Formats: sequence, C-alpha cells, structure tokens
Amino acid sequence: MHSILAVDDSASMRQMVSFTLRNAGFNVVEAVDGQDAYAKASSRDFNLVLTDQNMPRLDGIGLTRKLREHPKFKTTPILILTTESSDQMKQAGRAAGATGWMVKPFDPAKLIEVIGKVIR
Amino acid sequence: MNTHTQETAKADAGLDLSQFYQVFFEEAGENLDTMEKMLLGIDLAAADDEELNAIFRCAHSVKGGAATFGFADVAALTHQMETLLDKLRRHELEPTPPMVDVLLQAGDALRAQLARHQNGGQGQAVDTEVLLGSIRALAAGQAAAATPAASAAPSPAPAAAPAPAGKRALELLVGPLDTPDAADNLIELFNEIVDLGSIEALDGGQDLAATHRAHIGPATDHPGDRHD
Repeated sequence: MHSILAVDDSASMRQMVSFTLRNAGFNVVEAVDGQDAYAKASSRDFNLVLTDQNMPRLDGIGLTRKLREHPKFKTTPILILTTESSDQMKQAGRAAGATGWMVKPFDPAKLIEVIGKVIR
Repeated sequence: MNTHTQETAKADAGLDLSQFYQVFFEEAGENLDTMEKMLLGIDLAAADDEELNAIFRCAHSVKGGAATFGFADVAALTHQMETLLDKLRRHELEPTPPMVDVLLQAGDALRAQLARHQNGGQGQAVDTEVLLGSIRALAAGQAAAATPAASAAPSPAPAAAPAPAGKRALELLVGPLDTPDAADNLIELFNEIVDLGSIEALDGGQDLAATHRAHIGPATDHPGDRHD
C-alpha cells in the first residue's frame, strides 16, 4: 500500500484530504506544518508528499527544498496543494523541486487522478 | 450572493464534505480570535514580520477552508483581507489605523457569516458590500470608504457614543434562540464580570427573530459602576 505524507496547518483540510486519500486506498500520515512533516519524513518512507504552502515554522516551498536535499526524497513526488495560484509562486515551487502544484478548492477525484499519475 | 453552494458540499467521488464543517467552524473561530488579538496588539510603527505573516495566515486559512467547503461569502471576504494582508507582509504597504479598523470589522463580519452557516444559513445574509469596498480601497493604497462597515444585525443599530481611542464598541447579537428567554440573564452575567465594559440592551433586548441585541462599550471609570 502506498504511503502519503499529508501536510497542512488546518485541521479541517488535513481531515478532508486524509479522508479522501484513505478512501482511495492510500495509507496516510498527517503533519501540521513543514517542520513536523520533515521530522516524520526523516524517520519513515513515503511514496508521495502532499503539502499546503502557507504554514508556520516551515512553509510548503521550504519543506520541498529541504526534502530534495535529503537522500531519501530526491525523486519522491511532492505536490503543493494551496489557494495560491500566482505564476511567481508556482515558479518558486518548481525551483524548489516540487513535482506539481494544485490549487484549492480542489476536486477530490481530480486529486486522486493526479496522485495516481505521479506516485512511485 | 449565493453564500453556500450545496453542490460543493459533495464531490464527484461522493464525498460528503459536511462531515468536516464543525472542525472548520471551530478552527475558523480560533483563527479569527488569534487574528483579532494580534491586530489589537500590533505596533503600527514597528510591525513585526512574523506577526504580519501570522495575521495573514489566519485569514488565508479561513479562506482556504471556506473555499473548499463552499462558503462563498466567507471566501470572498477573506480573499479581500488576504490581498491587503499580503501587501502588508511584503511591505508593499505600511499598516495604518484605518487598515487595522477595517480588518477588525471584517473579523466581526466573518464571525457573523460563520454563525449563520452554522445555523443552517437561516437569517439575513451579512451585507459586506461597503466593507469589501473599504478593504479593496486600502489594498490599492487609497482611503477606506466613508461609511462604516455593515453590522451583522438585521436592523440598523441605534446611535451610540463613540468609543475612546484604543477601545472598541461592539454590537452583540445573540440568537436566533430556540427559547427567547434563554438569554434573559445576559445583561446580569455581563455586569458580574468586573471591568469587562458597559452593556445596554437594544430594542428591549429582543426582536422578532428571537434574538437579543445589546451594545457593549468600554468600561467606564465610575467607581459606582463596579460590581465587586
């Protein structure tokens, strides 16, 4: 079973994303911000990381950058899921190493479809 | 404005998003409390970057949830707030008292919007047209709209003495209530808390929508008003 690290400082969003992913057959671990996510990622394996952008302590782009520097996560798919949609932010995400950028509100079925295409 | 789209409460995959509403409402309330506290304590002459970022994140978080769960009016108002707050945190604009005031008013309007959604959308929608215009103007580097933001109450509030500088006056709306007398002791309970402020019932404290309305102002300096 594939494992996904779902990162968002909003409890309601974490619950909704986790519910969607578990319903689709994924194992999900939640993190409340980028720093929490990095600590969890360092101690176990994940097939994909799905992260919000605007979070305290370490944001989504910062988390992406740190994960890409970690030997375990050089090629792990990292999707940033956020309300931010500016080209500038998307470029910053790409430069940090993000695999993709999805804008909230999102269609749960579309999210599963995109994950299905990129997960290893 | 269609304030809530039923269609967005369910997804193509049959996901009923309404199961997450209560967590969203609680979380949004916490974010609004945090945002208000930080706005009231902000040093306009030396606003801290992390503080401005934190205030932005409060509005951003409410916006994200509101957009996801279909609360269009909440999403629209927080989007405008976010635009202004983003410029502040990027130092494209400097924070000013009118900006703080309008953001505080927006927080109050958001609470009213959220309360209405929690109550199944009953009651009159909160009119935020003037407030949205003020926020847009401030975000564009202009002065806020001349008229004050709309109140959450369904009928106009009577004139009240302006609050002293650094203090706020609020209109409290309690209800709709299942039993109108459920808030009968509101005035007495408020007055039992020392230095909380002054409270005055409006319209006899009850209107046709089974709500209680009261005006809350800053605490007075009259020793005789204290309840020890």
